[in-house]
Amino acid sequence: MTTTDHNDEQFWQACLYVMGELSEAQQEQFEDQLACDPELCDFVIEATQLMACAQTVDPVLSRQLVPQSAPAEAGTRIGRSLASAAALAACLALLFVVTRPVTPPATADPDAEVLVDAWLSNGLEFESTEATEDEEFTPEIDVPEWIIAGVSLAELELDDGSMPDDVMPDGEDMEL
Amino acid sequence: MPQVAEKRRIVEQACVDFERDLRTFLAGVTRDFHLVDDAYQRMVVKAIEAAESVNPETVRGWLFRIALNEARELQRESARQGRLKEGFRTSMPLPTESPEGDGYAQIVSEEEKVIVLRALGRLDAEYQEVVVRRLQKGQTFATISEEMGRPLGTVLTWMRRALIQLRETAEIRQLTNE
Repeated sequence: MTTTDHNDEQFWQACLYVMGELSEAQQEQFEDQLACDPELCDFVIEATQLMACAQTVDPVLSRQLVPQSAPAEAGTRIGRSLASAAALAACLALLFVVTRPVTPPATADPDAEVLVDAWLSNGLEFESTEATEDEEFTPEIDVPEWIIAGVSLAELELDDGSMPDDVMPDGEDMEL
Repeated sequence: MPQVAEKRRIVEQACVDFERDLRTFLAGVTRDFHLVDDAYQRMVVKAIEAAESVNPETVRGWLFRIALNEARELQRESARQGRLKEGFRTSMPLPTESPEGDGYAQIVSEEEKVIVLRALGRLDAEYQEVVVRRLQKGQTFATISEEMGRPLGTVLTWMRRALIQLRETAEIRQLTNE
């Protein structure tokens, strides 16, 4: 073990000690070493200062760090969203196929795709940056009526491309 | 006795010269800001009482030994009084949570915090995350391992590398040397 490796190991042990990660026996042993090793005392000082600085960093700024450095956490949530959205899209696609009386078109219905995409993007954007660690993600598979209605819109389109008046009630906003 | 008086003066001066290091050391050993002041004061008293036995060339190490003994004694007393000593993060609340204000002002300056923040921002993503989770959010390594979906050993390795890299940052090295 080189001197650098030895120093790194001493420093790491000091960090573990300061963080309270050592067992009682290990702590006793470490403190016995401290009593006769001034260099180890210096490592404890370094560890304490460094961690005190890292701990007192502005929580707002630390949140800026965590998103860029926490792909696993966000990724887990986004992964679950995508899985749910994929299941939803599969259900919608199945619904679309079942409700159409003729053979499915060769090309996908762009309106349905736009609506499904809008639903997917809405699910992702809803992810709150204020989410706490204990928050359990429960995927919603509650399909709003407008989605189901929207998928079937193409069938009701009039020859001139407009929609019948009784399809879209006045004043009802589509949430995107 | 001039020799004893001289040694006493040396000890008193050393207590002042090394005060910041001693307080930082005590903070690391006790992991409890409420004990740091008590421990430091007891150390100073003990050191002055034992001044005639000091070797002026090794006074710094001698003071740290006394500080360590006082800290351990205080911890035993606190434990007997039922105060639990938790890890670094939980016993030292974030500045916004501390009713007494920023207890870290004793051992770290604003400049040092900025330097460490900058260095933290340059670490690899995984290292940053582990550091933030452990030190700022107070998560245990077991929880971090579970939430990041990584083995415990990997998380500990990342934490070790992160702290060593931070320590080796040129600016932080300069602070340490100063």
